[in-house]
Amino acid sequence: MELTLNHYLTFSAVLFCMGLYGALSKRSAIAVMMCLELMANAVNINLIALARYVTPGTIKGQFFAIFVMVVAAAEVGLGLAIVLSIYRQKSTIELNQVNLMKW
Amino acid sequence: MSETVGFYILAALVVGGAAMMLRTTNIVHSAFYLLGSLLATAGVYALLSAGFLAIMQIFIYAGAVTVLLLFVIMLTGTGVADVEAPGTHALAAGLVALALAAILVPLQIRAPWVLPKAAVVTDTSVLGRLLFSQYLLPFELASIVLLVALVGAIFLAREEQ
Amino acid sequence: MLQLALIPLLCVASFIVLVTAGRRAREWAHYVGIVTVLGSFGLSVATFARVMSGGPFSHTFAWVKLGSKTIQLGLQADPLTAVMLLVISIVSLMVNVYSIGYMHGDERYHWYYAVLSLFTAAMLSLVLANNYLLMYMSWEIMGLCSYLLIGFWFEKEEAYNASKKAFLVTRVGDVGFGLGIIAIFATTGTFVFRDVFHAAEGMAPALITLITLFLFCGAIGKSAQFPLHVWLPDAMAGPTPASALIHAATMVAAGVYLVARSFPLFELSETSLAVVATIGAITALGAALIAVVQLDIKKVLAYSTISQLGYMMMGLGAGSYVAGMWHLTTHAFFKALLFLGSGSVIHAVHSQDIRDMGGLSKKMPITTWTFIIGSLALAGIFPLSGFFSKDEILAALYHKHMWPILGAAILGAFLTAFYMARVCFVVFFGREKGHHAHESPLVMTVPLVILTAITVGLGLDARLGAHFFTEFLGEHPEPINLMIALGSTAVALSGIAVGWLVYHRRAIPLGTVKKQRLVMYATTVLRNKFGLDELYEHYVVGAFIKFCDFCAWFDRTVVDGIVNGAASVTLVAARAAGWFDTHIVDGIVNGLGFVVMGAGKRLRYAQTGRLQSYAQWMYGTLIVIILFILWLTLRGGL
Repeated sequence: MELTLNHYLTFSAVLFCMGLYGALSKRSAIAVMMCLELMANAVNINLIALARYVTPGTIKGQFFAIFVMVVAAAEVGLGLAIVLSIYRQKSTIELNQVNLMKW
Repeated sequence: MSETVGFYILAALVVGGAAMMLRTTNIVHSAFYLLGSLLATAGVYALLSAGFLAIMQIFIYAGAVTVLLLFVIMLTGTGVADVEAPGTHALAAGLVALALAAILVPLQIRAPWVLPKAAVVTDTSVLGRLLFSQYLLPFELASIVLLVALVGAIFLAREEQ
Repeated sequence: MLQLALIPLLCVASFIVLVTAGRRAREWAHYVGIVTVLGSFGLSVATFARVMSGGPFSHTFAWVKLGSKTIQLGLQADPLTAVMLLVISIVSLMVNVYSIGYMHGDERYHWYYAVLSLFTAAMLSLVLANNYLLMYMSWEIMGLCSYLLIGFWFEKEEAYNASKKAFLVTRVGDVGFGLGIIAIFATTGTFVFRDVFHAAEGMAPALITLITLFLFCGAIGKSAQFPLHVWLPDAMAGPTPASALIHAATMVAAGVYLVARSFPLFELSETSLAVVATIGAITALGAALIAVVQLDIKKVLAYSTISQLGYMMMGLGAGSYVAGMWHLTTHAFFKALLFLGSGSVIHAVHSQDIRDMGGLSKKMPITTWTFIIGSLALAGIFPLSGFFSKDEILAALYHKHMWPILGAAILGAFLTAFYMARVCFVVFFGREKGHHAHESPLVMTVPLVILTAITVGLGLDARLGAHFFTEFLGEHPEPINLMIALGSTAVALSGIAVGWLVYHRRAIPLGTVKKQRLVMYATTVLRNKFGLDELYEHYVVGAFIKFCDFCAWFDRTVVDGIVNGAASVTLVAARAAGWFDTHIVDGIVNGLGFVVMGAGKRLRYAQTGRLQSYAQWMYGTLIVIILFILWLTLRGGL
């Protein structure tokens, strides 16, 4: 079968949703971070695929993807710093335990 | 033809890695499965004629992010033997994810993409040139973001006085 | 104009002064009254002279404008007015002087003179009026004064009842009078006599009859004709001099004056004249019969007055305006004389019952002989004034061939002579009843003498008197009808003779007569005044009281029922509203509160504090939104 844009789009959508599932259901904060990375990656794939097929002349998508990567990296760094901070406070990284904002 | 095959293989690797990452209860294992996915993703980028980005992917994700994750796993004492059961609300999460997928896939496929038949730019120099001319502002902002993230992370993670 | 206006206004001034002064005037009230009446008398004389020499004069002015019509008022002096002015002022003067003695020491001395003055003013203005409106106003004021004077001693039950009765009964007549005046204004557009009489000549006879009958209603009430005569006997509860002035000489004559003044209208309607004469006859005869059995001296005189007023009406009804007015004039003087005389007797004996009196001629000569002269005048004996005036009436009736009425008049004359003889013989002659009676003081006897002189004088001038009067009033005097004159004298003398026989000589055993069944029956009927008072009491007053009871019942049951019902309805509505407010409105409000609180209580569990649950909600909502946008897009564009 001919490789088309649709393949990549489907692929990235599926990947995104898997990451979403993990982000919403994992107990560990670090696991959630990892799933977030997965979602960012799915987005990147989407962008680059579109750049390749829709704007092959001015690969705009790739630039977007670069910045996504940058921001995702920054986010991971900060997020993990926060996780460490929480760990120091509560000696746990289970998200169920971090519920100071509850009713 | 070969592209298609390559795609399927790489996709399988990515998705498989992601699935394993989700299923395993050992967080260190999860990290490594993630690594696998990310590397496969780099391959996907290469398939899409985004060479620079493929390399970037390897540097940033496979290199820095994964290491960072592993460090934090180590620091927060969630060891190898830590039980990592899925949360009680896995069902809700699953439903949401499924629903989203059900929406996104058909939506994207049916979107009226205009596909020009031009050749894709594969030259990295073009990328570089555009990055420093047309996309200079985002570039500079990105560097500030990194700076802020750096400072913030140091601050947040420092020892208590 | 001023001259005319001053005549009543002087007496009004007296009234105002005395009312303002109040009890302080106890010592000098009579001076004020007498001086003002004297002034009015003087002006009346002047007016009389002026009319006699120069003819009638009047002054009219526009009083008020109602829409397009202007109401004129004014005063006039013509022969009729001039005569009345003299009569009124002289009698009033006599009464004012007499009252000094009679009312001496009374608690409300000043008020008595005040009302007396007001009355005189009203009567004077009545005769001076040149229009029906002013006449009516004066008429009403006189009615008020009559009420005040009858009820002067209002501590006595009979006094205040009598005054109410007088006022109400005359009011009934006044309603008719008022309707007549309104009819006049409606048809002619004016109240002024002269203009009304002009306009009347063109009116339909039926209309004129109607109007004159209405006017006569007033006369029936005020002049105590049948059937509205019932108030006059009761009015004797007032002070005797007041009775003399009002209920003998002047006020009751106002009705006669009204008919005389409206004579141009009455002349146009044969029917009205017949009615006037007939009522006059009934009154004259009926009252004379009742007078025969009265035991109270004042009541005798009261019924006598009613009877004589009937005579005046007969005279007018016979078409002789002169006869009626002449009799009014002479009657005013001798009736006033008789009343004041009776007052003198009452003052001496301290009782009004003739059975308490007797043989007073020895102790009270002046009173006795003046009273007797007055009685003779009333009986119509030559050469006293009463003879001439009564004669004129009989002659007029004879000329008009009004036989039944003439018959009644003659019978009445017999009775008049008889009952006056009865009174005189019983009171002044016969056995003394053993009390220390003495002659009255000068202030009381002098007026008696003066009035006697006038009574005699008016007669002495005999042909000249009646002639003069007739000519003065503008008619042609007729020679005396000898037949009538002799006939009436015979009747009168026989009446006196019977009285002498029965009451003085005791020739007819009164005791036996009285025990006769017929006599007893007749006496009862007459003493009960033909049962008229009881009739009125039962039917008129009774019906009215029933109506009042009905009104009271209506008010209590229906009106109060409605009001209470409305209140109940309001209460019910209020309770309903209250219930509504408490349960429904408050229910809604409280319900809202509960709903909010309940929702809050349940919704707060959404704030789990857990990151991932928030994320789930967020994505869930995102999906919903995407679906919604998809739906909108698919439906037809965003």
